[in-house]
Amino acid sequence: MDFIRRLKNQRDYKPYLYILPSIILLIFVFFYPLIQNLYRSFFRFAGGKAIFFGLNNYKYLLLRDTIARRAFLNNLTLLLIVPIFLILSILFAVLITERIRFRGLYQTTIIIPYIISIVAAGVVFSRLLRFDGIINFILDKAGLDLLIRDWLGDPKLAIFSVMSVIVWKELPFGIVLFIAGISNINPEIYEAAKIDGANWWQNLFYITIPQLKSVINFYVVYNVMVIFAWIFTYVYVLTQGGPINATTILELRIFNLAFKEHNMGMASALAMLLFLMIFVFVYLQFRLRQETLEES
Amino acid sequence: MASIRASLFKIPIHIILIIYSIISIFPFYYVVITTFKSRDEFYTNVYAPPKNWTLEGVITLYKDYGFGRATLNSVIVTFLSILITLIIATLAAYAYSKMKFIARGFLLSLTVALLGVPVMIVIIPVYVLMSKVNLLDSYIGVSLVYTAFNLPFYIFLLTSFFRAIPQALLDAGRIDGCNRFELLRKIIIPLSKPVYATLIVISTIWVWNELLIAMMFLRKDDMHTITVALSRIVGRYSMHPELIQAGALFVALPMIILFLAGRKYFIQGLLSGALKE
Repeated sequence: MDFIRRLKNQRDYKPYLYILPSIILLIFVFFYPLIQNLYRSFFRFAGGKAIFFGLNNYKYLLLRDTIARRAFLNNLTLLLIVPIFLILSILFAVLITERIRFRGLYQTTIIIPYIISIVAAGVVFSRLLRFDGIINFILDKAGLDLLIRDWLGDPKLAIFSVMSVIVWKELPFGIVLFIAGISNINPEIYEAAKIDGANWWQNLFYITIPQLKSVINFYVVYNVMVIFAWIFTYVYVLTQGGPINATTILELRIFNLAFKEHNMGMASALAMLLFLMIFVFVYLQFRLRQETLEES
Repeated sequence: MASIRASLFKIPIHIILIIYSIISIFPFYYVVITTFKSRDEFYTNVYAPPKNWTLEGVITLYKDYGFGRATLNSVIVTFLSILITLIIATLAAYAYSKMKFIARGFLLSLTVALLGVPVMIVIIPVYVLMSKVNLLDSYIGVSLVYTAFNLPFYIFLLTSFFRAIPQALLDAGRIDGCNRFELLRKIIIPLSKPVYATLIVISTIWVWNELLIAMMFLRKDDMHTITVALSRIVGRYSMHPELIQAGALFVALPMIILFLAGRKYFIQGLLSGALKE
């Protein structure tokens, strides 16, 4: 009861007035919705009435909803982006931090995709990736007409086309991150390696990458979160989940359950499952890192 | 000899970076040339610059397709949400950094832990709540939602910045007769201009570009923000490529200008989000 006693002794209530507006807003937009979601996930809403449904929403989603399963598998497929991001962003960051001319110009140019709206990018790419779009036009001119495909319309390819647009737009964040990471490496380490006669590749694999370990760790965790919960707009603008659910993802499934099928209970249950997945993932990686910290 | 070898070594680097730069900005070439073509020319000449540059598409977009109104809506929503966030976050960060109270550490960690909570997980109940209190299709309603999503980052960054302001400065201010609120207004805020610039640049770009929240909370045609308007034009008028690309251009252009003007602050903002770890 130490807490109560301290609360009674707290004479200055003004600090709470300062934080109050933020707390109220965060309650309404984050905590209340999470509780609401949990509550609704046990109900079925029909004709303005709520019928208690137990765990049936969850059962259906986990066992019978083929679209939700497809969505989950698509999210998993999109995880392929994580190694792509890692390799490309480290590569470009290393190249840009070489002492070259026009460094600032390159840096500015390559960030631009990151700052434009996904909607604008999606609008352009859905044109460029069409069957009569420029990608196929270039392939045709280059004599590679064997490779011509309906990039967004072919169920096997569509997910990879979406993936390429995500890479095009989100890669600059990684590059900026690793440029900063590389500039933080103590230059004396490279000086020492130079005396030992290390070449460019040895520098990369024995100094730069090991020194970037914590940035890499952050970037991987960040991207897994992005793939599972922050790519709705790409899919919504580029494919709407089609063709035949080939690019549907968990976020889109939640959205469609709520607003197309008007099944709020099921939508809430899926939102809770997604929340749980992310929570467990963040918790596990946090524990894992603490353990490695303790070991070292 | 060594310097020649070094610069020869750099040629492949330049080639790789030039190719990547072209891939980065090639879509803009396409957007710009399509925007300024007439519809007839689009179908005969897809990839070359227009033979006759025309503003037809741009004018139709703003006159007949409500893009002017959508631009205005985006400006209002972006401005309003950032203004509210700045006020609420500054007050909270001041308390978290410079005052002592019970549960301070707990409440601050709880706030910062919300950084990055996915929109889709919480948005449906927020939508139901907003419709109950009649805040759908209102600037203030959608701005409050954006504010909530911006708050954790703002409070996190401002708190760590305010903490670094020496207590001696505040003590000196107090001796001069400033009360608690005046210390904030006269000493802390003026010292924090760079961090405010960072926050404003980052969140302007986020709010302006955002689609999901805008689409859910602004449903009437004349309330659409610029991204919603663009996505609707794509759905309804897919046979008008010059309108669609003009829309994409005018969604992207203001943010590109803002980015070029505030590059330093933008990059700082990206990195400070990552430093949370």
